[in-house]
Amino acid sequence: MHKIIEAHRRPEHVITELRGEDANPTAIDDAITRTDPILIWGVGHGNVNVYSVECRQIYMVACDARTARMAGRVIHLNSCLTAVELGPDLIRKGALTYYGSKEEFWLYIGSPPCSDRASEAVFLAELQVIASLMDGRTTGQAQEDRLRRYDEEIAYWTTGPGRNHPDAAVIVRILEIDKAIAVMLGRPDVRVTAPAVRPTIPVMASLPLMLGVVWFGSASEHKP
Amino acid sequence: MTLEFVSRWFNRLPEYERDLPLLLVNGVAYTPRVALQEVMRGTALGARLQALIETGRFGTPLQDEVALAKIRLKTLLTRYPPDKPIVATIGTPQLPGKTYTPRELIEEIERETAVGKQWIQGEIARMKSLMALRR
Repeated sequence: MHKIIEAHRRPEHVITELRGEDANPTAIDDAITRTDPILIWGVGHGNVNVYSVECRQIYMVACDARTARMAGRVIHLNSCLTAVELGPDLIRKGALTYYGSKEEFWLYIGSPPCSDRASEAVFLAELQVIASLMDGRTTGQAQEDRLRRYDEEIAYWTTGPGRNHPDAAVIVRILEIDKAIAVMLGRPDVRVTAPAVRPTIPVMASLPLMLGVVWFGSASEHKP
Repeated sequence: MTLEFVSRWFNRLPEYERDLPLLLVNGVAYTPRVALQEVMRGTALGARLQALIETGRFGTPLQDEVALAKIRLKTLLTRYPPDKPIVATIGTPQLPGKTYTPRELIEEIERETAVGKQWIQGEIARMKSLMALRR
């Protein structure tokens, strides 16, 4: 995520990051209240109706009061299964757009997290959403970019330089699975970048499964 | 169409895909490597395999796609150390993070659990991607 932010950040973007112990429900709520972000991104354990943050503390459950905090925002939960119930509930509660996965989200653990292209492959595709949104693309275009990025990664491990990696066969298969379950709900016409706007917030935490949790948002909504 | 067409398709496949069954003729599954050999030898079987490759079909009735995908996955996963976790999911906040070894994945695929079905459907998508490499 840091590489994405570095590459796509503009001066007007205000980004808040919460990670490790700072990615707890109270701190996240405080950051959202303080910065009123347009875009929130998180990676953490999930299930059909629940999303959790650091130390598997539950942050949101479908139909609970906290989901209303997502109204007026673009939300990307890099997690398992939340597109089944939680994502639709976020849209019902007024979230502009939601990105997530409708089944189990897979990752490669044959090398340490973020240590090489293999361990980053599925996240490069998922984080394309954030890169595109930070570039001013619409939410619908960001979804197209996400799927295209999956195809590029699949090509990299099939016919590209990754084809000789000893675990390429497995990496390419989890890419095929994660692409097939990559969901976007809500409005396709939202832009999150703003010239001189409200802050972008963000939060990051690391999970026991060696994942990080990053939340970040940005200014106000901009229609195409 | 020519041997060159099949040969070009075969050469585009990564090495790890060349010996996984992909093409079905009369209920028998053939790997890309065997298909290429048969085409090179000019056999009747080779002609049928070549026709499948040229038209981008596996030769499987729909119901056999699942069976073929399962065979492919089991063949592939047995190439790896059986008990070394290789992939994981980030689901289920109430439970410890779930990692999977090749042996566990094979069990899930055999039993066609929710996870197993994910891998089977992913494999069918993969098979289609590989046929598309002929273009």
